[in-house]
This record gives sequence, structure tokens and C-alpha cells, in this order.
Amino acid sequence: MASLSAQADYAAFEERRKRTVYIDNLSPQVTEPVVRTALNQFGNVKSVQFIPNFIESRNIPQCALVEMENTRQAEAVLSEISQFPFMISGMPRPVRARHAEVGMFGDKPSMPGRTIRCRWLDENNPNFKVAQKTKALIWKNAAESAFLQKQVLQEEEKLARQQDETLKSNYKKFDLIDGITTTDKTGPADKLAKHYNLKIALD
Amino acid sequence: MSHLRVKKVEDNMKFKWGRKKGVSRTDERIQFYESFTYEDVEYNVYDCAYIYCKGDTETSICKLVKMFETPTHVKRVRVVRFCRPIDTRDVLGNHNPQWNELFLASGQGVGCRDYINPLEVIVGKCSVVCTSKDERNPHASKTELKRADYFFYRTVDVEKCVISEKFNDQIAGIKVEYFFNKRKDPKLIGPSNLKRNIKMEAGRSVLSSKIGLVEKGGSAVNADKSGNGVSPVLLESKRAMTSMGENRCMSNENSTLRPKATINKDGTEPSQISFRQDQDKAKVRYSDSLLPTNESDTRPNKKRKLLLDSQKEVPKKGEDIDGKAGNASDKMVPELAGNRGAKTHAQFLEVTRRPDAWDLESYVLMLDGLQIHNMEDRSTWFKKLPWDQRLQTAEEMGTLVLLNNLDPSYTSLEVEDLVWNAFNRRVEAKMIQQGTFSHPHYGKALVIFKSKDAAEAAISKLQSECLILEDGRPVVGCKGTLTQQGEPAKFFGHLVLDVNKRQRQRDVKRNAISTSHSAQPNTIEYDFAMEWRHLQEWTDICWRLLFEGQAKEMQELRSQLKPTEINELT
Repeated sequence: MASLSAQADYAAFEERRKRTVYIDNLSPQVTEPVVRTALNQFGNVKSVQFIPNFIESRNIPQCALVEMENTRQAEAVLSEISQFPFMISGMPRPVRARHAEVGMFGDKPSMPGRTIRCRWLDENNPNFKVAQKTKALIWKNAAESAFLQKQVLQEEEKLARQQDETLKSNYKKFDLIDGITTTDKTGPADKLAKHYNLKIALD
Repeated sequence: MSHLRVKKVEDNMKFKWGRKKGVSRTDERIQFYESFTYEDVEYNVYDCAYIYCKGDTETSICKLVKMFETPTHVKRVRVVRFCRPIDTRDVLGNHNPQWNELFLASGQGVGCRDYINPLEVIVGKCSVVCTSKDERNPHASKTELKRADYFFYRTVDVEKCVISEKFNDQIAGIKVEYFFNKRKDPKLIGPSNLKRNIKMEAGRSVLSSKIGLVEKGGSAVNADKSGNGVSPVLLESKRAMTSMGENRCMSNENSTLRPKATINKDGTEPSQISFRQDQDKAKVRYSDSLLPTNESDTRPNKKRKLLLDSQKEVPKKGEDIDGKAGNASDKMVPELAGNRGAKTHAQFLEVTRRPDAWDLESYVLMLDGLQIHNMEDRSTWFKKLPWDQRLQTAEEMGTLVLLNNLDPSYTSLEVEDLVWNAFNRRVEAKMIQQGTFSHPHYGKALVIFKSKDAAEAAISKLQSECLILEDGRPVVGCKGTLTQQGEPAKFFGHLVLDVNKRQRQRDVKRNAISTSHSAQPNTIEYDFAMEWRHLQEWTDICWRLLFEGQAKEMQELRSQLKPTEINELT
């Protein structure tokens, strides 16, 4: 029988989970105070916890659990971030927000009343072959996930590069226009104005 | 005094060694023990106790780090001392310790290492909690603080005469973890330990009730002692007491000193007496608890302030600590701990012992070049560094194992229990917190084994056999490899233009680092952000498809499983 305190603990944890928002696509430079100030405008941030990345590639974005004061505030953060592209500590890649899930918490309590059972199967067991196949499938799945993750990172890099190009070429254009309309009477615009005897209206 | 002698003999009979721990490698006749019982009070290794040494004016408080019997049946105990504030007054400087604060003696020098005493010096049990904020120290709960006679969070280096809040990894050759509070691990609350604790408690209360009987002021002593506890109700009585304190102190000075004289007499023949009789003990203890009031003689005003301060501060600390400790300790599954305790009790001898004590004693014995006979594996002892550093070390030593296909809702403690049951190994485990790239159906956990062999054996066993969980999922394991640190992590999608080139702020605000904002729809930033959103959607769909496909495959395989009875192991 699950003890009352364990149940109460779990209920408290569920409450906490509901008012917690999972934020990802965070740059590695983002620190706790940055997230805190960024989300304080939607409510009161109670705690920020970065999910440590021990085994994945180092290049995956940071993600964090942000606990708000109540569920309403958490919902506000969620809707705000999904409606508008919200930038934290850099742009133009927006962050994303999701509901926090149980597995994301490092300090989750165990489910009350659950007993874990396990057993060893040896070769004679009728289920042994299936189990071995399952194990192979797990590795296969892990490899597939790793591959997809690589692809995603590549896509992201591609998009970032592409945008960088666009931004730079845009910038060149602006620079060019800047150059034409420089105000020191030597720019091309002034020369042309002189030539055609026109006046440039400067704002 | 003849009746006293008789009584001593009787006392002798009430002494009993506890479980044997091992023998010295150099001399097999030297027998180490991990506990002894005297008058229903059980003293375990790493308990704290009052000791009284011949020639001292006061009892001292010590940690018992080793207890053994020599070939000539002389019982000896090795201790590490705590210093009272009064002992450290020369080095105190600006520190203003509370009256019930102690300092752990560290460094090389008298009073710390190799302080071997005849066992008879032990006067009574003392409870000392560590309130250090050190990460390796499990926080003491409010009740523990309330119950404790003393607390400490600083060390005093007896050699350099420096007070410090830092704890070295080893103090007097003992891993510092054993000076901290004991870990409140659910595994430790086995039935045997529980019994032991209750016994201990009973012993303590007996002792304190004796104090009450022996001295008229006994009740005041109790009040005084609980004064370092938390109850705000006591505040009033405490105030009254401090005013009373001066009188009481005067009248008690004689009565407390007299028993000491007898102790001195006894102390001249330590090999003969085993324990002083109750009265003396009670009185020494009593005088001990009077210490603050004695001090108050010299500087009454300051003292009173100190007392009141300590009351205000201690509860605050207690709450603080309790909050944290509560997180860790309350969330354990009681059934699991209970079941396990019972089961392991039936099958394995090791389990009835506390795993932390086990580590410790093997460590201590190894330090001293002693041999343990029934040692299962010569484990590697990790310092209680932060988890990520411990992972690094474990990876280097090959003791790190990554378990996959666990239930994602398992807690780290449950994984530790699972490994304990499946491999009979005591490990440290932590579930991997799920993130964006984690598989929603596969829970992963990093497990640190005690040795490379144990880790490799576990991996190969997982490969050659199958460890099946209740719902039919097999657990797989591989060598744990951590993310390479070093070069800074790349992050795509945050564009920064060359700042020098920039003259005016146009569409893109470039200095937006460490700020946050929502993009406005009329900017290029917004367009870019939308592109990112598309990419994010696209990857989400990819992941979902992949996970769904994988789940389907898994389901197909699982349906082939024949329903068999699954042994309950946990």
C-alpha cells in the first residue's frame, strides 16, 4: 500500500510539473538569470533548471525547466511563446515552449504504490529469443535516433548559413544605399543632384 | 568505596562487542569490531561520544572511528576529536561560535590523528550533526537538529590553527563523508538498522532520565539541552533559565567537580575499570551540558545574547535544511525499501549491513593495511564530488554503464534498487532527464559501478542474458560514454553581424544578446524566425514519425512474448 506521504509527494510533484514549462532551442550561452529575466515578464519565475546533457552531442541546444508561480502563468508563457517568435539571448532562432513531462525532471518522486519487478531470462526461456530481438531493435532505434539528430543539426546549420547569407546581402544593400546618400556632399547622390541641378531633400 | 568496585564488575558484564569487522593484517590477534553495547547503549563506528581522559578538566566530544581489542584483551578505540569553542579560543579571531557549536579537528597534530584511547574513556553517547553546506554533506533535518546535542560546520586545523568551513577529502585518514551526517538512503532503513536505532534511542532516553534522577537540577539540564533544539515554546523557559543560570552554575560547580575527582582516581588504572558508574557518567554529562552557563560567569551579558541568538538561528537553519532534506528523503517508496530489506535480509548477508558503513570500514581498513576477509569486491571509492565530475572519473576508470530501455518514469533511486537486485551490486545511478532529443519511450540511466570488473560483468551479463522488466521490456546496457567536453558547443541560428560595419540600426537589432523579445512581423528577423519555426515543425514531424514507427516495431515484438510468470525480485 502506498503510504500517504508518498502520495502527497507525488501530488505535489504533479502540481509542480503543471506549472513548469519546458523551454528548448536555447543557446549554450544562455544562463539562468537570462531565462529568468526573459520569462519574468509573463509571471514570476520560481526556479530555472537546465537539463544536463551528459550523453548527447554537445551541439544540441540547451533546454531548461522553468517553474512558474502557478499554472495560469505557465499557460501564459506557453501561449506567448507559441504565438510570437520569442528570442532569448540572440536571434533569429526563436525558443520553443512545451508542457513539462515527468521524465524531464531529475528529482521526480517515484510513483506511489509501484513495485518494480524484473527477472533474468536464460536461453531456455521461451521468451529469450524475442527478448534478444527486442534488444537488437533497441540498438537499431538508438542508431536511428542518432542519425535523425545528426540530420536535424545539419538542417539547422544549413538554415543558419542560408539566413546569414541573406542577412549579409541585405546588409550590403543597405550599406550601398547609405553610401549613395551620404551627407558630406561627395556621394554619388550629391554629384547627380549637382549635375541635374536638383536639390536633395534630407530628412 | 567497596560497593563501587562491585558495581564496576557488574558494569563490566554489561559490555558486549557487536559485529566483528575484520582482523589486523599485521597481527591477526587484533580484532576489529563495528559496534559494542554497553548498558543497552549501542556504540557504532562513527558515532559520536563524550570521552573523558585522565588529566583533562572537561569531557571531550569525539567521533569513534575504530574500535578493536588487542591480544591482551585491552579494548581500545580510535577517535577524532571535536573541539569546543573554548578549546579554540586562541584561534577564534572574529568568529563568534554558538555555545553548542563544535569544530572538527583536522590536520596533523595532537588531538586529531591517531588518538587511540582505552575504550573506557567513553562516558556516554553524544549526538552531533553537521550543518555544513558542503555538497557531500546530507542535510540534517529539523528533527535531527532538534535532537542533536551539538552541531558543527567548521573544522579547526590543529597544526596551522586555522578555522575553516572547508572540509578536506580526508580527515585523519578517514574519508570526510563519514564525518558528515549519515546518508538517508532508503536502502539503509533495513529492519535490522531500524531495530538498532530504536535501541539506541531507548538507551539515550534511559541515560537522560538517569540524569534527572541523580541531580536535582536535572530537569533544568534537560531544558538546557533541548535549548539547542527548535521549539519556540522553549524560548520563554529559556529566558527564565538564563537568569537562573548564574545561580545554578554556582551551586553546581562543586557538585560537578566532585565526581570528576573520582573519575581521576579511577583513571589511574584504566585497564581495570571498564566503565564508570552511572552517577559519574550522568554528572560528567551534566557538567558538560552546563558548559555554557559556566562560560556565562565570565561574560554574562554576552552569553545570554548568544543563547538567545542561537535559538533564533538554529530553527531557521533547521527549516532551511529540512526543506532540502525533505525533498530527498520523503520521496522514497517505502514499499520498495521495505520489501527489499526483507528480501535481501533473507538471502544476502551484506544487505543487513548498512552499505555506507560497509564502504567506510573497508576503506579505513585498507588505509591501515588491514585485511578484510569477507569483502566481496575491492571497490573503488569515489569522493562525493558533483555528479558530473563523478561521471567523468567513472568514464575514465571504465566503471560507467549506460542502461537503456528503462521505464522513463523510474527514479534514480529505483534504478539503483533495480541494479542492486539484478546484479547484487551497490551502485550510484541517475536517470537521464529527457530533453528534446530523448526517446519518449526509452528511459536511460547512467550507472556508476564500484569497479571496472563489476561494470564489465554487468554489461556482458546484460548481453548474454536478458533482464526483463515487468512489462516485458528488456534492459540493455553499454559502456557509458559521455559527451566530449572541450571545444565550445556550436549553436546554429543566432546571427551576429560584424559590429564595426554597422552604423545604424536597421531592421535587425544586433546587440540583442542577453535580452529577450518577441519578433515584430515587419522585420527580417520575423521572416527568419518563421523559417526557423518551419524547420522546428518539420523536425518535430520527423521525430514523431520515427518514434511512432519504432513504437510499432516494438509493439509487434512485444506481442510475441509469451505470458509467463514474472518473478518478483524487487
